[in-house]
Amino acid sequence: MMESRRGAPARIGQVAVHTLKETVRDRVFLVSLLFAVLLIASSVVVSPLAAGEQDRVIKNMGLASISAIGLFLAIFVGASLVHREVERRTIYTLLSRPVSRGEYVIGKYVGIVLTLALNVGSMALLFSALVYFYLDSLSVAHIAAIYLIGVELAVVASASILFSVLSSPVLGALFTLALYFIGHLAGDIGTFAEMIPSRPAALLCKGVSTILPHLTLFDVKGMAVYGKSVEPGLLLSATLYAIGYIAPLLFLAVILFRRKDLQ
Amino acid sequence: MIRYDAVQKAFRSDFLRRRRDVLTDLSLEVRRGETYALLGANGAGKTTAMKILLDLIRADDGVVTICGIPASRPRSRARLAFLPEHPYFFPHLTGRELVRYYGRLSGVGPGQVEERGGKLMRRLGLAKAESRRVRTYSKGMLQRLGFAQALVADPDLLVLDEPLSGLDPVGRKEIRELLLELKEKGMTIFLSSHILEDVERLCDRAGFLVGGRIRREVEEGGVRWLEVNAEGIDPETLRQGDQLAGKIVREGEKIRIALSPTDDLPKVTESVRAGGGRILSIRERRESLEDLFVVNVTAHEGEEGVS
Amino acid sequence: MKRRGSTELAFSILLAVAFVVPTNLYLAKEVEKRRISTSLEEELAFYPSGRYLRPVAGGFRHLLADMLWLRAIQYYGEHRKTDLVFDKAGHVFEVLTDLDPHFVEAFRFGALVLVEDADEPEWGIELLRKGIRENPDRWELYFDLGFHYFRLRQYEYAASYFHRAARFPEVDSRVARFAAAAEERRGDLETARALWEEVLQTTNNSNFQEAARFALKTIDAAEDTARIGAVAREFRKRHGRYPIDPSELAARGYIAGVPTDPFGWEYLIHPKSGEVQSSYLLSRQVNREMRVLQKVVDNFRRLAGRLPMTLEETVREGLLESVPSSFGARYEIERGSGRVVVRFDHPRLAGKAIFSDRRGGEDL
Repeated sequence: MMESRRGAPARIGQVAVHTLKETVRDRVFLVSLLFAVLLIASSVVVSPLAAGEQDRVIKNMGLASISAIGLFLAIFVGASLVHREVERRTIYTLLSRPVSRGEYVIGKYVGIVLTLALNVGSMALLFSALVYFYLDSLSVAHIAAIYLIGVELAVVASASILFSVLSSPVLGALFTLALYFIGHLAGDIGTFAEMIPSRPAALLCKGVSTILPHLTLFDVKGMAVYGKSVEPGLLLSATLYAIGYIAPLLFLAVILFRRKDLQ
Repeated sequence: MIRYDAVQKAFRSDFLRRRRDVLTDLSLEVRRGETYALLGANGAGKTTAMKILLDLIRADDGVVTICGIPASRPRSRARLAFLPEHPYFFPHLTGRELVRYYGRLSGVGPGQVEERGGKLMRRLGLAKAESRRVRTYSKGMLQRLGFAQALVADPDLLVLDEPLSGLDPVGRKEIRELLLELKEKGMTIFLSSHILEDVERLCDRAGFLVGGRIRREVEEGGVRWLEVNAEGIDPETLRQGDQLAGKIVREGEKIRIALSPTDDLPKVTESVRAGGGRILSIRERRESLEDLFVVNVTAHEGEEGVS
Repeated sequence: MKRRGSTELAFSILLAVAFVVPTNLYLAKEVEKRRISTSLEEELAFYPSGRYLRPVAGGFRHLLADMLWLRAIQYYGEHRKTDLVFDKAGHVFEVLTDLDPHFVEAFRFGALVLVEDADEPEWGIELLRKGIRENPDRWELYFDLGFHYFRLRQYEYAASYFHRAARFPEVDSRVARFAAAAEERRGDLETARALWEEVLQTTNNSNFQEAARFALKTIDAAEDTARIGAVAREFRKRHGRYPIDPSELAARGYIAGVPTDPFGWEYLIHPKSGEVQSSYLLSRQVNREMRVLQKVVDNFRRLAGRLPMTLEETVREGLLESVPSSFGARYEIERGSGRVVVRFDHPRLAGKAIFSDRRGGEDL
């Protein structure tokens, strides 16, 4: 009938679009969007208390909300994505099609990235409208900051897909959350390594710091708030960095999923 | 079309680290166009065997092929559709969307999938519910939806795990008719079932999965065999001819030999006489699938080939 | 179909890890280059007063103090390389020492940063006093206090603290000599050098050491400028003018060889005043002054709604004490943009306009 290799992108696309539909219709998505609106709105309410720093507070809170809500989605939805389907046996009929396990996992990942894009994108629109009309100070740096938040979430999502293949949604979510925090401390671990007197401990820290993703690299919220200009080279190199992590994580997820017996 | 070759699978129960052999030496063949039923007790490994066919589970040893393509390759499933026991589908999609998704995933073009999907939904009585979320479907509707998603890709091979379980008699009748219809059109069907009367009505062949392998295969129409009663001969002497191994039972002074239609009757009677025995009687016997089921499946422990 | 072996899995994991390592080593640096991390400031602003933080942190306060210490070091390092502005330093060290009052190094380093780099000598002194209250048995704190008072030329306090430090049995006799120097109000370079060398001895903190070494270099520069200045005056007596630069002095045999300052840069001689300066130190100073002036101008603009005409206007309005003029520098406000620029009447520096958001020490 059809050549299996050629059809791969199409099948991945189908899994992805279906995942997007499933997730968007899930209550979680709607709730998170609602929360986002609430948070961003509250920043406007709270800011007059900030004694002249209204600008900063709204921008800070807005960007932080986008990051937090997106993170919530990336972790909790991602971690349960594969596992839920295996649990519910919906996956049986799915994988009995001429879809390979790899196509399935990648399709799921693309699906959740699309969901995140939709989510972050809506919040970004709201935020930008707010900053533009109310504060009259929208800049490229804001968009860049939101873009990088999205990229960071794509990295987190790849980890949550990996964990969702490995274990239950709860554990997977916990692991991903832990990875998120450790990723933000990765830089400190590296600095720490330079300060420890003991050689083997320093080497260990250096090694760990070289393996962990340095998620702080995606944080340019400060640049946006302080109005510093963002050069395109930053966005490019950060995107490449993200790919440098997403690719191996997905690779592992596919390998692990291929070995799995679906009872 | 389907071929299992010496397939083995064992599961490790993590708690006790005990190894449970589910399939020990499964070999069977399903030919194109035939309807084959896999029969066995609960937990005998029927579902496991099917899952190995679909690459949902990996066998420890042995080879499974579909039309010659190893089951581990997604391409082997290009003309195949599967309906598991207690099917469950994505709750948030509508019936229509679900059928469309599965169809597209199997490579059916967008126009075709709409047309075929619509026809199938109507045929299966789901037309009214097609825009409702799958979440709202009843069990019977889910079963029928299962058939819709299976058939939308116009498969050559249907793999069904207990397709008639959990349905009321009306539902069963409908599905049976559907299956017969498909059979008429040349569909190859590989199914597992408990409900023997349906199996008898639908299937060309059936295999008993006992002790991890096919202990006995049965042709349509139940089992017919020739029973040869003889006396005055030692079963051992007869067993030299190895076709008869497992088919001889001693009953006091007499022995009873059960021959399948393919066995060579003249040769056997010859051997008996040559060994100094006397043929008492030759009778044609028939046994229902049910009897066979009970005998084979429940009494397989430590018994010598009685059929 | 056989199950895939665990060797395949191990190999895959190794492959994945191997892919990740160069990403971190190379790409991470690319991103860092283009990114300005202001998150430190944000973070620090969010730390409330240490007093409230301490009970909340509970059993983790030492850990929190350590993390804050890391942050503080980072902060110091970053700003030393860039704008030399340390206005968050005091806050950090206060919180830090509230969380862990026995973190002696934090008191010492905090005070150093406050006095030397952040221009907050009173705060630095207060911090050390707090340190002494919490840790009366640590001689280093008394010594440090004496040291800072000495550099601030408050010799009575310096002497008394040096004496108290000297009373500790484990302390070197050198400290007693510092006490004597303080009593004699000897604010000479030699004593200063000896003090810094003592500081260098007493600490393992690399930042501390770096600060000490930097200070020693400034002392070297001071000695050099004094020497060159004397020779320049000689020159003037002979030739009726100051030399253009030290190389002229060398060419005419007044000094042997052209001196470079301890930082590898050249020395400048002012044609009118005969003042000698290390160009490196001058650029640092000018950049710092420009930053201060820029803040003043921005403040003025915010309050008055327009740019000040001249810097003298800000002095009149009380926003600035006096307009600096190191080495004859003239600070002006650029029309339109409101940026502070500097011009020199020194022939070597003339015509070069320096903008205030450049990184320290790279332009002259």
